[in-house]
Amino acid sequence: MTSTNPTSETTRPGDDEPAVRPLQPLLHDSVVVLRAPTQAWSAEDGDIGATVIHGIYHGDTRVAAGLRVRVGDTDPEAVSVAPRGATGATFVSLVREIDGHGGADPRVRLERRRDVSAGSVVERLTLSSGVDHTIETSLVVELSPDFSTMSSLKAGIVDGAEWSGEPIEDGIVISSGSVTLRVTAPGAVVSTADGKVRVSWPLDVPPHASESRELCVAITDESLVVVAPRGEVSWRAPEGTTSDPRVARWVAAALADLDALRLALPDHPDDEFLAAGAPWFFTLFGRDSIWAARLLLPVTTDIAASTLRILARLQGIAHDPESAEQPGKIMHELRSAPLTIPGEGVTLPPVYYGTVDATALWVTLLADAYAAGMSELAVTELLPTLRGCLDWIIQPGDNDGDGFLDYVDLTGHGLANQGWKDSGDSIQWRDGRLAEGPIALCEVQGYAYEAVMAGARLLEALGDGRDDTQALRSWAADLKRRFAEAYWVETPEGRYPAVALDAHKRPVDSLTSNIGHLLGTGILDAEEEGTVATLLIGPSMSSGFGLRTLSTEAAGYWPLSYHGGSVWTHDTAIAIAGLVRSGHLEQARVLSEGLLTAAERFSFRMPELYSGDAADEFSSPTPYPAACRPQAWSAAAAFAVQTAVTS
Amino acid sequence: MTDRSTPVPWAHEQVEGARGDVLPVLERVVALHRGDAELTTPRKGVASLASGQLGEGTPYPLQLAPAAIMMISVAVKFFILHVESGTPVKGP
Repeated sequence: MTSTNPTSETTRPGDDEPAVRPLQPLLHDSVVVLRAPTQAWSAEDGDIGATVIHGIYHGDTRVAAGLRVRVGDTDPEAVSVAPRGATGATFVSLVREIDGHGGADPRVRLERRRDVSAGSVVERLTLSSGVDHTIETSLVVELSPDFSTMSSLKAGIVDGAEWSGEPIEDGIVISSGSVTLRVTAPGAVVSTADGKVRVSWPLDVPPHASESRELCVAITDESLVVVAPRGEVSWRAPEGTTSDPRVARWVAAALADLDALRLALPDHPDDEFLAAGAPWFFTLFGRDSIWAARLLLPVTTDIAASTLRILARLQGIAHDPESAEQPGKIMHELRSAPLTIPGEGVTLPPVYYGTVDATALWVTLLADAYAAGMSELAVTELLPTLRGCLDWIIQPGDNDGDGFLDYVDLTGHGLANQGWKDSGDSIQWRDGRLAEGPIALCEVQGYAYEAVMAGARLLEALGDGRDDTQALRSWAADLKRRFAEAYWVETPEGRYPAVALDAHKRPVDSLTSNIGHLLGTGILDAEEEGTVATLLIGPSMSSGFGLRTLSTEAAGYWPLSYHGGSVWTHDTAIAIAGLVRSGHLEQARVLSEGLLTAAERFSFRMPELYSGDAADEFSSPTPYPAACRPQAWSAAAAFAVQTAVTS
Repeated sequence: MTDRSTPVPWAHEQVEGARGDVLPVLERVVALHRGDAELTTPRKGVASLASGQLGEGTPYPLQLAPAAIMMISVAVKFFILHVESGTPVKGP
């Protein structure tokens, strides 16, 4: 049999749907259960299919858009969802219509126990009865195969593909392109109709007893460029001495999420990295994987070592404006296919190098991992990659020859902003005007200073035969001097480093969280670090739930602006780590308390970002409705907070 | 297609697995992509989708509707010319 995808919310031209403008789906009120590269998004009753984000995903494909459970002809009424770590959840519903015992309390309930592993989703359904008679009914599951692409769904467009089904014993095998679903349901009648797979079990539940049935969806995709790593995690929660129970709860939840976000590349399944986040970014990102591994160093150096090796293998070797590749550059993003944007004729290459900071961050991760215990042999093997990074920082990283690392998209269809604040409106003046590129971000100069100094130390310690470390130190000292001359601005908010230099070398004068990344890098002197530390915990920057990306005094401030007023968990954590490194423990604890308050509100699964609203006006931070969760660097932020509150 | 054999001073084999054999599948996709040098787009759209920012939505259906209407007139003209030229529109 062959089918398209009749249940979809598609708005493709040519369909009978009205020509409405598709919108990116919101995520904040959906439930996710995951083990990368597989994830299941549902409503709180466990059903999948009410919104565009719902579905079972494997890699960059949504393999099923719907999974609906009924008891007889009844829709169960959801009452609770209980997560079991990152990879499981139990949904509890009532089935009052078949209850019929005449009492006040509900006596029949359905438990849906969902478990996700890499390449499978298992749904165990248990109908429990507390009544005195046998319940004769059926359990029915409707599965809607889909095969839409992740990039289209993110744009609000369902572009599901044709599929074919082949019955097997206890189930059906569904295929579409390189993706295969093997749906098994022992004891059930399995049929297809209207583009859906219908699984039905007749069910007799004796008095005061339970009956369970199980559905398994096993997924394979031969085209995936990411796979589950071969090994299990070996890490344990770091021991800290704090009486604050929120720290331990956040650390435990973070480790579970980070475990579920581990991925590897097929050719080296023993080398793992942390996927950036669910749902959109289940792949390798240079910057994200490096920061997550760096924040995780108090727990393990293993992730850092393997992340460094993976990125080293993909280090740029040629000049290619299309992909922004340059010799020595560390990559930005890996996809199994070009990233296409429907309707725009846009394609980004599957290996994209449009990042100005990943190269310097790779070096700082190497240095920090070595200091944290990564073996000398493993570090030595990476010295050639280190050389390439340092060469890139000092030469191609500076597009216009002014001595600062900057970026400009030469193609017209790459990322306009190539720092961590990568949205189109992220770099703006205090009066709200957008800055013109090439942009030289302040924090990137800090990363570069730290990277070159740390690189020189590593080369001196482990040696590669070249006697040029003094030249490296001189370059860094010169960068520090020029930074002090070029970046500092004075506005009604005080004196601080500008967020960036624009195309005309003017300091873009908004007060931003970016300056928190400078702390501890060495590019500021002690007095300058004190000035920055004070500003970061002021009322315009510290919301009480963390560090705002942009000061409330800036014209462009908006609490739900992606990079212009929101709070990012990892951004706050980096500032906290910098405050600790620079000896400003009191300020570090102020921001840590903000994150802990937010973490409690988010049930200790910190999203990528949330509102910059002040905690004294809102009892709980407003979600940014498109924020990924879990997000690797948000989870790993727990360890920066743990360090700060136990220092 | 970029010449990937260009030597660089620090090119190395110390990290197990040379870049060229890391991901054969991926390399094929890269080759396919790099053959298309005519891609252009408003960068803001790319930025909002490639980043996690809540997108503005896409005008895809609205843009395609006029295109579809224009296609109808072209198809009608093609059909008329096809018939007038004496070419059978169906097989015998």
